[in-house]
Amino acid sequence: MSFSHDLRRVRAIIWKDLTTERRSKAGFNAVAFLGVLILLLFGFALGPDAEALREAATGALWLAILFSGVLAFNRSYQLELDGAALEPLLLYPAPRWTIFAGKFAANLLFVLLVEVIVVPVAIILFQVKSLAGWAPAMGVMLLGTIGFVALGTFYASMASRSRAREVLLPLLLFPMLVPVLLASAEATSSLLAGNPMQDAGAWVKLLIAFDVIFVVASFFAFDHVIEV
Amino acid sequence: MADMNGFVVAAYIVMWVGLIGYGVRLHRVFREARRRLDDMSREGRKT
Amino acid sequence: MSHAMPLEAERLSNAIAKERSIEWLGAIALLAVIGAQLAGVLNSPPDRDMGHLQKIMYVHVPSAWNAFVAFFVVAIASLLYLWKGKEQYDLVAASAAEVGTLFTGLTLVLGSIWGRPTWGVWWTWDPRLTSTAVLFLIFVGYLALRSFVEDADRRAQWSAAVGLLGALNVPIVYMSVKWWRTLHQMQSNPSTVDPEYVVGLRTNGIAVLLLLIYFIVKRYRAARMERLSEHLAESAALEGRRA
Repeated sequence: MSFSHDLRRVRAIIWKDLTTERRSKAGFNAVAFLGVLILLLFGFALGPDAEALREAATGALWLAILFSGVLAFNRSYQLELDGAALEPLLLYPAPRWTIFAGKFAANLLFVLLVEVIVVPVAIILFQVKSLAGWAPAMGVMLLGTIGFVALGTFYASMASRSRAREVLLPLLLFPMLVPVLLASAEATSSLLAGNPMQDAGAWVKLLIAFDVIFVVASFFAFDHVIEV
Repeated sequence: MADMNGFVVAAYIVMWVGLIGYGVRLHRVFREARRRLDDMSREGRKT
Repeated sequence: MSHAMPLEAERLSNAIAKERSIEWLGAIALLAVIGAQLAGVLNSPPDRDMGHLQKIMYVHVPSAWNAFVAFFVVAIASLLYLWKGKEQYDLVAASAAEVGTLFTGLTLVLGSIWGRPTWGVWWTWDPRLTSTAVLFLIFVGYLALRSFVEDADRRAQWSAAVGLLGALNVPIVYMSVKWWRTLHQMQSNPSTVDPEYVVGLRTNGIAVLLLLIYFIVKRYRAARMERLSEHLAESAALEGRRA
């Protein structure tokens, strides 16, 4: 099987996952809305004082993304499970990494679109004044999201097929995301405040290392967990 | 100072409760596993 | 079916014989821990700053060390299982994870008990203790996954993958928390130990290590017997269907 053949398969899976999602547009809307709701709740919890809110902005933003994003991951396997389509997918003679790549890409696109909605709301609700380094900050958001989605897609391949899937996915996933949460929140704050890249530099390096390690690890581990 | 000693005592109690507690639980788990294996193999011999 | 009988009868008698030898290790380990603790508590003079609080180190630090040893075992066993596929590796990993959770939990509670009189708070977000808390959650997740999966093969493959990924993350978590703390100019909590206490820490560390080994081996044996029962039940069910 040639590599281009594999890539076509990846594209097919992305297309399938996203269009089934789009037909139930409710899915995206619900998740985005939940993200906004979580931000609002954080606003209430952390108090109306502007300074307190500004301090908490990137932290609250990332938590809103994490809590709403998790919903996307189990759902990306839900479609196969409901229609008993996982078996046929596995029977088809193609490398397993194409399944993971397809789902990973579809989930990444999904979460990034959710962020398009949630980030502006966070800026507004949390009264973020300075948007100086917004471009590199977006880069950081992307890096963080990649790590989040890679691990989320991986753990969901197991959680979605076991009992208590709603609690198992966060339980497995969230401890693993501590470095992503810390690095992304800190780097985003620092960049938005206009601090030179050096401050955020170490965090960015950590994020890149994390992403490389765990995207590769997830690809390899997926092979083992999807078969059985 | 005497106050601090309370913490030291508490720490050692926690440690021993943890170790002994797990030891006892492990004992029960082991016994149970062996008993089940005995039962299973006894049933096997019967057939 | 008849060929299975002598095999498991032999296994049973082996199990019983081995049980006695492992209990010897347990007894020795117990005595070692008591001895090391007594030696530590009675011999070490009160620290200038910490007074008798320093003695908590003799239970806290060995717990921490051995929690990480257990975790290391989980990582290696998981890797071996993914590579070789032998069920024994999975059972070693599971046993080490269970015992590791015990010691990780103890580390956290003891660290908290030490922290309260030392710094006035029950939790300081100290990098090492915080990383240990994350490790605890990873262990708990691992055990939860195992409890939610019925099929043995699936359970073994999935836990091995989860265990391995968890292991990869521990140093990264530690680094991030450390940077996070220095970034916010948190005073690094000095848990540097005076050299005169090192001997006591090491002896306690080794004594608890003996206990760790005893726990893991015993838990492993119980797990092997549990698996054997499951195998017998499966083959009995198959026999039943054929008959």
